[in-house]
Amino acid sequence: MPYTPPAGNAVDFSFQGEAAYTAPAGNAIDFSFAASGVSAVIADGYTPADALIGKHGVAAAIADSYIPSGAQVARHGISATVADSYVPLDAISASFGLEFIATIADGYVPVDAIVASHGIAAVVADSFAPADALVASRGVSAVVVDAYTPADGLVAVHVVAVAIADSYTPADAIAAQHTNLLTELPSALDNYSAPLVVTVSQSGDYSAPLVVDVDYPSGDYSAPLVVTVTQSGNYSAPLVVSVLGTSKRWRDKVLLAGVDVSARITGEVMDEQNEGAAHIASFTLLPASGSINPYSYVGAAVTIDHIRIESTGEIALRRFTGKVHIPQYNPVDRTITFTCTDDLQNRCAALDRATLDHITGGRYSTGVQGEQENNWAYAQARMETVAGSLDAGRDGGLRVTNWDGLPVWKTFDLTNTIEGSIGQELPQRGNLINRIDATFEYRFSRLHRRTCNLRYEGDMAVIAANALPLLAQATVEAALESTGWEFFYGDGFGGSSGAGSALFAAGGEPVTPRINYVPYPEVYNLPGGAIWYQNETDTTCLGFQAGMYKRWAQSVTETYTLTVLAPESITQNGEIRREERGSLASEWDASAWENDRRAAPVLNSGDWYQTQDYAPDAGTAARDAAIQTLVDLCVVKIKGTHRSGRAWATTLMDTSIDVSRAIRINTTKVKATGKVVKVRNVSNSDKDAGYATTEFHIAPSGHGGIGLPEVTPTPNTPPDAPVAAAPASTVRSLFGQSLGMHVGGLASSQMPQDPDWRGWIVNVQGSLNVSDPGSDAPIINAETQKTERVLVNDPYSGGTLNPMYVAANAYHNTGFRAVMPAIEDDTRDNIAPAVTKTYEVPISADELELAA
Amino acid sequence: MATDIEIFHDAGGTSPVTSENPLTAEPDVGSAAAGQQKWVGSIVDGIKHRRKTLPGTNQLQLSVADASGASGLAVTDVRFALTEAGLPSATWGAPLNLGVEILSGVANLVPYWYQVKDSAAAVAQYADLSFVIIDVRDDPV
Repeated sequence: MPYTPPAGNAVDFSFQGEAAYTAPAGNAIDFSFAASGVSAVIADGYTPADALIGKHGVAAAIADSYIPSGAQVARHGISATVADSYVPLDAISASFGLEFIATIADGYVPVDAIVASHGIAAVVADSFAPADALVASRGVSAVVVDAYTPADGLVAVHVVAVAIADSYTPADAIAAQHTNLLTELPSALDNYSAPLVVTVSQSGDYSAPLVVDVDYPSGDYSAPLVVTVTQSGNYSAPLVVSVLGTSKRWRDKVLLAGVDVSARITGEVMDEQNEGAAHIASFTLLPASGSINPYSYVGAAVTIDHIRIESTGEIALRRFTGKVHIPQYNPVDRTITFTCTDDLQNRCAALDRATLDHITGGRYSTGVQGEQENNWAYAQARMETVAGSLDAGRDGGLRVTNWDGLPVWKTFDLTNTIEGSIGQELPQRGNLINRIDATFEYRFSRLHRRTCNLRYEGDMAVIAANALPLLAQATVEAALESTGWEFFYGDGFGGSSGAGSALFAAGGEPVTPRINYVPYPEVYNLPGGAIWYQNETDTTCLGFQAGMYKRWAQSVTETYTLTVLAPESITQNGEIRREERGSLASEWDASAWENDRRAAPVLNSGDWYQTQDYAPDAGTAARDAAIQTLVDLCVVKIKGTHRSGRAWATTLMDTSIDVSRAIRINTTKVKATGKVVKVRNVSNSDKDAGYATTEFHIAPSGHGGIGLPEVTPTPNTPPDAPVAAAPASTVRSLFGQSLGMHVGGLASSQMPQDPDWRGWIVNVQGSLNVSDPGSDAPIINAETQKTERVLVNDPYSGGTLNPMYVAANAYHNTGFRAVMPAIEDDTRDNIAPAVTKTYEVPISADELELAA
Repeated sequence: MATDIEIFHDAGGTSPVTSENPLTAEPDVGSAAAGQQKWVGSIVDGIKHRRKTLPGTNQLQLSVADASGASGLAVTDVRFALTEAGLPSATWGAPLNLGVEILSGVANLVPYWYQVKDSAAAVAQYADLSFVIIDVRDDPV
């Protein structure tokens, strides 16, 4: 594609096989990385300031008039032909070119000319006389003509064939380098002509054989052997499929301890299921004559089948599977009545809690349901949070059946029920609960830590001028200790700048607190030439910086008021309210933590203040789980009370009716659908009886209302816990304090004394101790006419009144006073933040229609 | 040696299927769409059940075996699904994949549903069908 030079530059060049090149602004020609080689033809009028004719294989033909100031004629394998008039200042005619042929015209006289380098063939014309000419390097064939007389000429480097004309007389000429045959030109030699052959030294890889003898290994070998015994095989489970006919013939089959005792049965055989309870049964048999031991039957396995006698054979339908609970002998009629159970309670009690969790689902929290004495009670506790029932099927399998959402198993009407057996009972309002106010309390310790950085700096000029007493370090420490705050020790957590992450130093108690004292100077020059000095630097301080902290525990009892309600029922029936409670408390000893600075948790976040709720034995996860348990318990309780209505009917014995089913009763007078809550099968094959019936009860759920707005159940998520407030700004402002001096007893002293002053409160001294050694002067003795030193001032030692002292302005309360940030009452005292949340519960509206 | 894998009547593994307490079905009784849920696995400790052939790759399968061939019910009178909702679209007689591995323990019991076709079979009680899991290998975990 044709290259379009920038405006104002008369250069026309074209790229060979490359995309159009656009030179950067400000450069007349700029080539970069023209892989295929650029051919540039520069017109006669082209006079760039800094001309880069070409790069990377550019063929540039520079016209006669080309006179760049800083011209890079060519680089990287450029073929450049420089016209006679080409006179660059810093001309790099070519560099890095495998084949650079530079023909420099006679007029070429660069100042510092690199005519060629890196394989360039440069032909320097006669007039070429650079000051520092690098004629050629790295394989350049340079032909320097006679006039070539560089001052410091590097004529050729790296395999250069240089033919230097007779007139070549460089000052320091390196004719060639890196050659085996190097002929170095003398510093001055006339008519020098010497061929130069440069040979690159040989190179290659060296290889010397190495023979290593490896002896065969020897020793004992041992490898562990792991034997895994597996078993394999096929599993088969029998399937019994009963295709029932219409026969009304039947019989009972009772197995007692594996023995068929059907023939001895007398009277009713009864089995009854109630949702959430054990399946019970009873039968009476007439034992064979002889001694009997009813108690030998306790725990014996019992199965009761209802046998349908079809034309094709007998079909056994299981009614009951369990064991003997109580055998009762009646000596009057010599019968034994066996009361049996499917042993639901004992079976659950024997299971581990993980299995019960798996079976029941639900939730459990000791904070809501307390400790359970056995696993049956534990299972019941979990079921308090499940809107369903736990019981066992006829096959003995433990199952949980939800109250809602069951498909209708069968529909009964007047054609398949015993006449007059259909009945119903509406729920009583008094049995309803449609609102529960649940209160949950969660008690734990809230740990606080605050840091205060104190800085005091005395005014040396004031101190010295007024001869104030020295501030003792002990005074400072006593004042700081009296605040009740703790010092930092060693690398105790840094709070001086609000940052840092050091921990308490490990090991025993350190000796001294970390207070950085600023000592008094030993000498201080007062105006007028007086000198103040002191020698108590180890026990006094001009200033100090100390970090202090305080940590304490606060008892917090979060109080959650959880309102669980059924809006539909409230609308229809009015609010019927109950209460529930739950609580969870941490027993962790906060006082022990307060008294031991090293006790965990350390609270070393490095901030000015840190608050951490701490309850290692009853954390927030347990709290949330307890809240959710309490809510579920309330939901289930509300839902359960809305299932108190009943509808029932009796049909010929139907062993498929089970408390895990839902049944519909459909008559003109009563229409009801609901989960079966009770099944009672009774049969009597005595000659004067002969009946086998099944009575079932269903529990339609409902709120009694019609057309009420649908309620969306509120997800059972715990409410957000209350958050501890940050310290007030007035408190935070005292986390870093700069304390000053308050000097009393001067005319300028601030009056009256402010009781809230902090820092060093000191009075100037009313009197000063003076120790004057006296002074003498040279005086000529009138008698002897000799110079003698005579005492002119008597020595004096004693007290003298301080003329600066103003007694009326002396402060009454002096000393060092430090005041730490106040701890707010609601940060120290027990608190009970309250949280409320409402949960709405929809009530399933099962079919229940009555007609007169 | 046999395998410890078995079918249970409940999720807690408390009531295994036995000859005295077999799987049952009354296909012409109750809701036509109703199936029954059972659980497959084992309650022994530290066992993994896999297919003996290419263990860990081949699926353990629950299928129906017919002991009587031409008489009684047929394998195609039963269908399986891993969920109750999957029963209506399940293929009659097709085996059910239970996974390439079942770990022992109550928590690992695999629930499944089965349904027996309300066919035109004669009134009778049929015991020619059984549910089988063949080619099972038990290894320690």
